[in-house]
Amino acid sequence: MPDIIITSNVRYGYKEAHPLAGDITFAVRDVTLSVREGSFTVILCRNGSGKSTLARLFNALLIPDEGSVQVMGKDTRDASSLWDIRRNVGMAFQNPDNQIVGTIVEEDVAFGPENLGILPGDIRIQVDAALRNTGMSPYARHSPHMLSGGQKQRVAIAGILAMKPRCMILDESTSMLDPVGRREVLTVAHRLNREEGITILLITHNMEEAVDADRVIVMHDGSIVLDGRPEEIFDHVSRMKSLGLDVPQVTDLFHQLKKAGLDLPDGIIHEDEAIEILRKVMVKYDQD
Amino acid sequence: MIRIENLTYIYLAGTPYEKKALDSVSLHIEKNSFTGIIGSTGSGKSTLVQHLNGLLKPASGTVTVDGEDVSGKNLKELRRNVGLVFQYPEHQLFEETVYKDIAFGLTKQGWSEEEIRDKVMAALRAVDIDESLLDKSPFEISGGQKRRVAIAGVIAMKPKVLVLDEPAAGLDPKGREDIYRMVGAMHEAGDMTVILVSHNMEDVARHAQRVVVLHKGRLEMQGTPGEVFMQHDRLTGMGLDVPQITRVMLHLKTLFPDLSSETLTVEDAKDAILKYIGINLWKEGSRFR
Amino acid sequence: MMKDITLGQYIPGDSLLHRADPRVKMLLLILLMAVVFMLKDLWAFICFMIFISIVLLLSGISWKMALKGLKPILFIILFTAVVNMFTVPGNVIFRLGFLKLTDTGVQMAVKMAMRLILLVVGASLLTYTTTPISLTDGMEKLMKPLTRLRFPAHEIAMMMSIALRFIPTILDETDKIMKAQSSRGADFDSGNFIQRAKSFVPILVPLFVSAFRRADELAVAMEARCYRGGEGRTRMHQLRLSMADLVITLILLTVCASILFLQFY
Repeated sequence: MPDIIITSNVRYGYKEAHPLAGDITFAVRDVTLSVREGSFTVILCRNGSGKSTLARLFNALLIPDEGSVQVMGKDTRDASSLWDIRRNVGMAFQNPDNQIVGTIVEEDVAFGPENLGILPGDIRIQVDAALRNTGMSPYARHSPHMLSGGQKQRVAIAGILAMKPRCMILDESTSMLDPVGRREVLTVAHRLNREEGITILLITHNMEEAVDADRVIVMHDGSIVLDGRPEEIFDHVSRMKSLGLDVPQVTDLFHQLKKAGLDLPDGIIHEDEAIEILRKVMVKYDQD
Repeated sequence: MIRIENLTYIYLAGTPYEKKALDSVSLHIEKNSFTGIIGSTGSGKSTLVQHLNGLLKPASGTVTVDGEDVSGKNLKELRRNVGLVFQYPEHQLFEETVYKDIAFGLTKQGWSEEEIRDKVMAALRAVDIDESLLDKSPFEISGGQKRRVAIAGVIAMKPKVLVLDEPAAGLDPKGREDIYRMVGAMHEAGDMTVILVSHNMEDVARHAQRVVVLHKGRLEMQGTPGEVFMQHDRLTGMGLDVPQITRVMLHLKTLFPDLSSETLTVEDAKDAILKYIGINLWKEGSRFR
Repeated sequence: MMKDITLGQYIPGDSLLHRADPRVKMLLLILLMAVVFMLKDLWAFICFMIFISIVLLLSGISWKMALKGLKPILFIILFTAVVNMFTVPGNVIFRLGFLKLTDTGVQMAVKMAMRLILLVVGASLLTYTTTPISLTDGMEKLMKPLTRLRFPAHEIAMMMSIALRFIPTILDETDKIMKAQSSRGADFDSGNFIQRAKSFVPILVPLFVSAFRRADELAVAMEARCYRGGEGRTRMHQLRLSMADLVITLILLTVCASILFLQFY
């Protein structure tokens, strides 16, 4: 599979005098990475580490100060491919309330395709498919305001899906949700990745969401500090903690048990494998 | 300290959307305890705590705080005793300076200028905010600082009961830990009953002495975190997550009955496993970590 | 209650009026208003009232609901009616001091009241049978010819529908902020007028801050979804004229024409 997003030495920084929030510094420093089409990548980092800036560079909401971002071979600086890029790299945001435009669920889902000037009959087909794919068909005629947080985010995802994108960026879309809502969104994201082949870029500070990813990128202060498979990343237990991030509790347990002298394998991030290994270890000691 | 008897609350009473948000809930909370109230969205946990300072009035049943019925006349006194920190409290900041915002509640209580200053400074220390921020606008400090300032505005009034509704919502792991450490320290400093409302079981497990579980407006379970989390199947059925480590250890316990059961943190689990397999040497070593 | 404000005054139903195109309904409302102003004879008013009653009945809307809109202007109606009754010259029916009640005055007052009632009920018929979304859609389409004169038809319609979308969200938020500030000791009910006005500062400031943040985020979200104004935009729901539109247009035209005809000849 080719790379859908390629960035090289991207640098972006600005200090914005926000009328209400004071000066905010956003920064991305020398980020070079490529995202393989069809992959599920999680970008993990603390709040305000430049991750949302990076996400906005990916779909031409921001243009890099230095370096370049290429989406499907097109440079985001090229104004003529702007709408093509945004249509193919959809983006869902943090606050479910502040990204829903329509007063009825299906109206909102239709917003993107309508902006693209698609024919009414085709919009209908794409909207229905998007609602089905996110499990929101039963709510098509509901008012978004009456939905739960997880359902609202699924509407937002359906709204992107209706534009038939190749890549979807979820910019902290789970951070305001309760565990149930978070699971709903993750399940949908994984299914879209698996069944529709949509590239997913999930930005979060919650490590649990990274466990099932193909790849985890850890950012700190606008730069990439770790990049690899989840089991590689989470093995850096102390490094992750010093970055203000967490690792799965089983990984932490294995790390501590190893420190105490037990002989255990590396790269344990899933509950089931942890149980299995601990069982074997304990059986062995039982026999001794 | 807090006695809730048969509390029922009906949301949007008299309309087609009428819904029983709380259904005969009875609950006693001891003075100076640290209680976690957990439940999924719509379980009634936020509705419950809004009764504690009279924001909502029971449809039936009674709520008394320190012997006073909350339906009584003196709301001011009640709200001074029960400090309620809402979810995303930083969204309620409005004054020109951090100092004024923290002092907002105090100015309504008729304290002198110096007394207010002392109380604001004490609150500032409790939430670990630097004095240099006092004259800044609350809109120009960082997100984590905003939340602390907002919490300071409530604890400056020295409430006997501090209720926090999802105080760590939206924060990253480091931010969560900082907030909980702060709340824990305030509780230990004494003379405060703390009630923590959350759907994050790990946070509750680590800090609360007692846990109350609400589901669809009914009180379903209560006990120590260990007792409650043992019933992880029931909790999962209510849309709640048990900490991963508790799940793993409960699973192992079904295979190895001798394993100690109440494991709520990674440290507990490590101790339990090492104890089980009989390596005790590490204990000496680990103290010097 | 507050929760359902997105539906505005809409009363769900499946009558002819419910099914009709919002554009047609708006144009017919204008026609109806014009005709109401042309009515002169008392019997013409009564005929029209009967007609409207039948329409209400068929649309499943009670007179009580239809008259709800009168409440805010009830005082004006009564006041002008009373003034009319006593000031218009004519045959005196009743005399109270210097006040003379005349027959022409009473007639004028009754007609005036009926005219206002007809106007309000006519407008309610539109809002009760049309969802706010179709209203804004219809308005956008009707105003479209004006875009040639640089009139921002699409932008106005978009603003109206975004406002509709956010009203319930902001009402919820207001409720939450009020509760939070009361928990911190704010008091909204005591003191004189100025003190009370001041006590709303702790609500208004956070509310504005949040509204700005929402606007900011919404703008970015809309841009990410390829929004670039009304140019080249299509709609999933096309407004299409149907039999219902033809039927209601014909009925209204016939009724108006016959009443006017009988009145003038």
